[in-house]
Amino acid sequence: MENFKVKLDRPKISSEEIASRQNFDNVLSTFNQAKPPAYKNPWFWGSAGLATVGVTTILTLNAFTLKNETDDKKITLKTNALPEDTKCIKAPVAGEDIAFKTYEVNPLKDEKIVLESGTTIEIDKGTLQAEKPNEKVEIKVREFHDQASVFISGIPMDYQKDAFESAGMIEIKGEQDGEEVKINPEKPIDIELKTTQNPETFGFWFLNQDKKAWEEYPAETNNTAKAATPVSDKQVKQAEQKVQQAENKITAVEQQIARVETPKKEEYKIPGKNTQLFDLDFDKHDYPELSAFRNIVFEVVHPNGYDAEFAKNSKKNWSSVDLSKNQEKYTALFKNSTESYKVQVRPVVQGSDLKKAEKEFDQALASAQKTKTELENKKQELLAEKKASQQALNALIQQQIAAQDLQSRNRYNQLAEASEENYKKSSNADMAAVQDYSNSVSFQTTRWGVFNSDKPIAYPEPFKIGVALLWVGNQAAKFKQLFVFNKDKNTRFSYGEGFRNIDLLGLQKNDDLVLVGIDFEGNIGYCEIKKDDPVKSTEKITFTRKDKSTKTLDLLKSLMDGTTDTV
Amino acid sequence: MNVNPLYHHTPERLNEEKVWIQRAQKSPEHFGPLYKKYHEAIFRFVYQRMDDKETAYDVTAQIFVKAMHNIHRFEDRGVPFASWLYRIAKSEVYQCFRDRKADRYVNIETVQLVEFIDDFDHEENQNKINKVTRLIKELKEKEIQLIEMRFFEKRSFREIAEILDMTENNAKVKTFRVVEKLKKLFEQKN
Repeated sequence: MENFKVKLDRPKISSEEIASRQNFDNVLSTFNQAKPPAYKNPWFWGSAGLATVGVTTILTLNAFTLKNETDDKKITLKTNALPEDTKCIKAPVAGEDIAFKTYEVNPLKDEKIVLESGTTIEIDKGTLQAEKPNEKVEIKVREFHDQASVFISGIPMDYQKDAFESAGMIEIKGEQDGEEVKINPEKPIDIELKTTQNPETFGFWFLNQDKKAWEEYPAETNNTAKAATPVSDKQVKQAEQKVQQAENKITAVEQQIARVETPKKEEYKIPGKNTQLFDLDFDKHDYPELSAFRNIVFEVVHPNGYDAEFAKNSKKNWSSVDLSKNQEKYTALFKNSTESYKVQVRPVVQGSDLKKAEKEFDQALASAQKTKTELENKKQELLAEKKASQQALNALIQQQIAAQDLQSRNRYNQLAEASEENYKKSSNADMAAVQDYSNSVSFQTTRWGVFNSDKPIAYPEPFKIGVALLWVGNQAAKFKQLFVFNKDKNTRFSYGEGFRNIDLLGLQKNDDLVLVGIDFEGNIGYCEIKKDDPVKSTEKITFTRKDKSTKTLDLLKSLMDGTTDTV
Repeated sequence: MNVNPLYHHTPERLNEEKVWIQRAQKSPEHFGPLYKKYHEAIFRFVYQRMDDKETAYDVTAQIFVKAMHNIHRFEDRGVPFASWLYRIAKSEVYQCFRDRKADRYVNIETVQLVEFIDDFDHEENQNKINKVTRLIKELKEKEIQLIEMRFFEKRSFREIAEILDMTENNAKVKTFRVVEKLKKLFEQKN
């Protein structure tokens, strides 16, 4: 039975040839074309995937569970559902606001809303005192985890004389037919608000819109120090670039090392050891390169250092010896009446010229060795730098993956939690992970409004002399309102109309800042101030005018970097 | 016995690869470094078993597409990523034989064969080579896999065991049995 064909000594294929056939783009493209439906795709099972599946599972199990789940799948976002300005909350940028997401809930059932961030809102039956109890109530929610969105919403962030550093904020309303639905004082709504920071170091507040002031509000913090810090793709990309930069530097240094030439004795006209030398008269006018030397003799050039033929010929009588040069090579032609003999030679120095040449050679050699050593040391430093960058990159990626995994797992578990059946299925380890990695604030409310996990931060000292605010082009900028975003502290300081006077502007020196000004015509200007280059009194701050086609929210998010989603 | 450098990694390399795998599990675009690293090894594995170079390149690409589809299933439970890839490769190669009705080839270098049959007999090498080449064709697929991996691809028993999903000891015993079987056949033919 012949199962196979045997082939002996087939010609080998080189690694280079195989490498030349690598085409990952093609493989990726085939992969994408052959992609299974999204629900079968492993990459679907990321944060969105798990959440959605969790939601689906819960919906399926609704009939068997006590609580009825409301989730993102059931969100009905109203068109143009931008909030209207109130006395307290006024969106600062015309035409831009943060929309509410609307969830329909049944006031006669226990409902649980799970937001994208993992924040949960539990509304028991009987909580919502709707005019029409048999009809759905719309729960409208905006959740904030970044300064850009908070700014666009117009929610004031000053507390007494300070500004808030926010860890998370939620605004919630309940309406039926456009009318606010009352909450049963005996059955408050339970909210667990996810926060970006350890809430234990933050306070909790409710915005009293009638008084236009934040009031302290009772809440319980659920945090652990083990929270996985999210890592943005931008951070990973920057770390990758660092590794690449180090690699490029190493390549450059290696090229420099290769270019360092070790001087050769021949170049300095230093004779070799035990070589064959002879004196020769030549006209220095014909060889100006040799005219600077006084003691020139000629050395026979031979790969082994000793030319036996020359030794034999040197014993003969020659009537003349002519020196010639062709392409930097010297040739001595020995002649007599019967024969001639040609040998390649090179001029070498002797006596004082030799001492001088040796000294110069030693210096050149030392210099080349020094350069080479310095470059080798530099290469070693760069290799260490590359290794450190690579380790930092790996750590960052692992952190990113861990954070994403935990986020997915958290959300899945939270969704699963509602179903007793699923809850039982959840392993203890998974549930422990939820406890371990959730930063949140739990509170109950019997009123609608804005709730905020914040920490008051003092406004910076105003500039003593003041700074000039200019547009690009040195035209004076007259701002109605000016906002200073502190990127390091996730804080906004507000100046101008409705806030403290712009003349009291001050800037924190040790943080990265983004300034946004709105002039009286509604033009928006922005600029970035780095902690390495703080603005001093008497200096000017130059604002770039925002392109009208650019959304302020997008601009701010890009300036602030690494912001989280807003509900 | 040669050491397969792709298989025997330093802890540093393993960590690096772990990160690549984790990233690839998150997004297919990140599979690139793994593809780059294993492309040649997988191609050689495929080409070792068939005759047509272009088909081997096609099958190699298909193996990586399949690996990308399934990488979420890969769990670091002691089986190296390379072995996991080889398992996919093995399955794709046989799929190719079925689909394309291609012939299964065993490609051998004479030098390797000489090493392999060194203690077979005291016969002259060329004769032994001719005989063993004929005898190999009589082996079963499972038997030739062991001989091929151990003697012609120079893999360790541990790696063979992981690719063929058996214990290391089992791989050793089975390989020994195949060699003994070949010897026996060799003597019978004499």
